[in-house]
Amino acid sequence: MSAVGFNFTIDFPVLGEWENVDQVRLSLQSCIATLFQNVDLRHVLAMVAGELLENAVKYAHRTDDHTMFRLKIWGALGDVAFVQVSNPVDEEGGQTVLDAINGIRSASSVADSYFQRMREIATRPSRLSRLGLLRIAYEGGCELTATVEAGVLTIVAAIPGAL
Amino acid sequence: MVSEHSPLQELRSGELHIASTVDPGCLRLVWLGRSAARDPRAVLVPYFEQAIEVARRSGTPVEMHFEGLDYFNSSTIAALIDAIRLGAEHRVPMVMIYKEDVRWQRMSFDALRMFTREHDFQLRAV
Repeated sequence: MSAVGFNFTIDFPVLGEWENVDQVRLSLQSCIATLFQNVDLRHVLAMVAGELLENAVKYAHRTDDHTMFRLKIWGALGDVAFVQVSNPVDEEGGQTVLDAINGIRSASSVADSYFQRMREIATRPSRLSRLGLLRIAYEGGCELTATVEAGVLTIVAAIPGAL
Repeated sequence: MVSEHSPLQELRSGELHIASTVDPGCLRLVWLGRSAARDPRAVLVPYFEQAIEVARRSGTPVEMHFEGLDYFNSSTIAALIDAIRLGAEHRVPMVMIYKEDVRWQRMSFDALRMFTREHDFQLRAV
């Protein structure tokens, strides 16, 4: 039996707390085990979701203790998969993320950008690694896009041909 | 091969567990579980400093084993770069061992390979 072309969507809200990120990532990994036999692919999807959610926690604009994010994963088996995270941002936080993604998209080599960032960490250690989005692009092989509309940042990572 | 109890205590932080043993010829740190803290450097860097000091006194390298680790986030990768830098600063050789047939481990550690040219740092795939 071939599952190629079978469409899937996983869509749910996440309370924007750091402690929830690992739980969501683990749950997602279990959930998509029902779709994909390939363990490496399951790990890529879960890693991408985890890094995007971590990014959201770091850059979200919080108006109260109940700030919600939205995680959505969709695609078709045998085709591209998308991982999307939306969260409220202020202007500065949104611009920081948009600039980072534009930098990745315009780089001549994602690998070189990733290695360059690692060299910077080695010479100037910092509490913020700024490796997450680069890791998604390099390790996950993803194309990243981002928009800010009405104070909500939405990042989409496309995993082309991975499924 | 006889392993001795390590003068370095184990590390337990969240879902991460690092066990340490003194083997003939190295201080062995075995990573288990998941490293997904917001700022893992806050816990890991002081632990690396202790490990490097123990290894320096005994004149042995530090061997970190990741074969049993389920996941680490990108902030942990930054902490591993700190470990490589600290090892070089204290002239303690550092070896990181990972599973070649686990894609995420292969991708993550291959990216660290550039540091093998500049520091006393080795990667070993098993």
